[in-house]
Amino acid sequence: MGVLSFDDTGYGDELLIGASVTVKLAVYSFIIAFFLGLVLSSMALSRNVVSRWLWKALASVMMGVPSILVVFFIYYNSSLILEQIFGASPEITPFIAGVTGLAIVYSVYVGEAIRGAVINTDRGQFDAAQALGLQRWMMWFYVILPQVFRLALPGLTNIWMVVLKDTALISMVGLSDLVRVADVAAAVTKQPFIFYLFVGFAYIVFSSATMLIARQIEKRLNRGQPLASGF
Amino acid sequence: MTLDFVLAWEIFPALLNGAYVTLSVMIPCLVFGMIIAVPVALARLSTNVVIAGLAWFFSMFFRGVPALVLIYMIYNGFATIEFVRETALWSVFSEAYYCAVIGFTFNHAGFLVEILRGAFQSVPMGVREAAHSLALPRHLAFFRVTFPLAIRYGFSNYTNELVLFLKGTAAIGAITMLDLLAVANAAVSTTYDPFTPLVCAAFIYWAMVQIVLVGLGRIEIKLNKHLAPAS
Repeated sequence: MGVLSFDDTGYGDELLIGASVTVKLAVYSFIIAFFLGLVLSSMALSRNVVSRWLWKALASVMMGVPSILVVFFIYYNSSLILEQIFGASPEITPFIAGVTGLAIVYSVYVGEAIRGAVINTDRGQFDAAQALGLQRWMMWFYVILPQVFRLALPGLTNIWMVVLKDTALISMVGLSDLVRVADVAAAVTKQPFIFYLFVGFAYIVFSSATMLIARQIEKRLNRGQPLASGF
Repeated sequence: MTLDFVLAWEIFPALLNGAYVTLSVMIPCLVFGMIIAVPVALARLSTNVVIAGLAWFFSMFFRGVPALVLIYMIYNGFATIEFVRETALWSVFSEAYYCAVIGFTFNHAGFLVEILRGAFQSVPMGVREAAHSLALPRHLAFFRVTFPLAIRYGFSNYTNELVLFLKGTAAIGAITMLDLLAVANAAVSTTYDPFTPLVCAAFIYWAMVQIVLVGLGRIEIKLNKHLAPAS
């Protein structure tokens, strides 16, 4: 196991840095996707036909195309697009392209999950909020959305798992994430199984850890529900 | 940054060739994945703790590890084992194609196990009891009653997994396979047009996903004919 040590001969430190890149990539992508998804779900639920039509087109495209293709597209094209609009563009690193691509693709899945949850929220809650004379934003933020997250949470947890695993693909754009580091280490040391199995189990540990957190959040969001499972 | 229709026309045959490679990896995986997944799903439901535990580990491992890591492990890993290099196995593990098929078969099987398990579990207890009370032998009760119903319950999940799987195959470019995404990327670097090849590839992916969705949607409607509202 000397190859996994943290000194100059081992790859332990490199793998740790790679893992932190992977986690950062996944967390940033998911947070941005979450807020974009909230906006998209309001588009999907809008009474405006054009905005609903736009949502349908966007959802169909993003759900029908591999996320890594979107990342490649952004990596190659975004600086050109930004230059055309603003006249200048920051350097688009593989990390930025990865976060942007994953955030855009998965915002559509988040939007769909939240849309479904809003539709499944009891209509009486909307009526009750109106009967109390709450303003629209108060109705959404104090009454509806807290209940929506209870219903959307299982879907959101699934999306997080998929985002986490999709970060592996970003190594194809040249990002030095966990997979890329392991790939290099495997080639140099000629001991590929140790490194790939290490990475594989690292991904399993990441997703199991988030499962535990998700279960805690679920418990909190389900408080006060009659006959909640777990009793 | 506009769509170059002349270029699109020129590279379209190459892209379709790439799509053919994508499908040629995917279709054997669907068959082998199902062959592996059915017994593992049954093992997962076994009352024997050891068998059920092993099956649980199988599905947890292959769902948790990103497909890219899996195919790297198979393609780069087995090549370092002397025993593999010196026997007939080498003709399998030296070919990127077979490595991609093996890797994605197990990845797909991992998800199929969970879909099948859910489908078997959603067959109502009463139906199985009815089969039992009719004195149907166990195997007949399974093949004539439980299994056909399970197919119906699991079908929409299977459609989802098929779409995710089709998009996931974009990873095989990393082990030198010239699939749809890899052909598009190659066209980007030879033509210096970062826009047209990727948009064309995205369109082909999207079209393939729509074919899966529409085709399997039709089958699902047929399977659930008895639930359709009377018209």
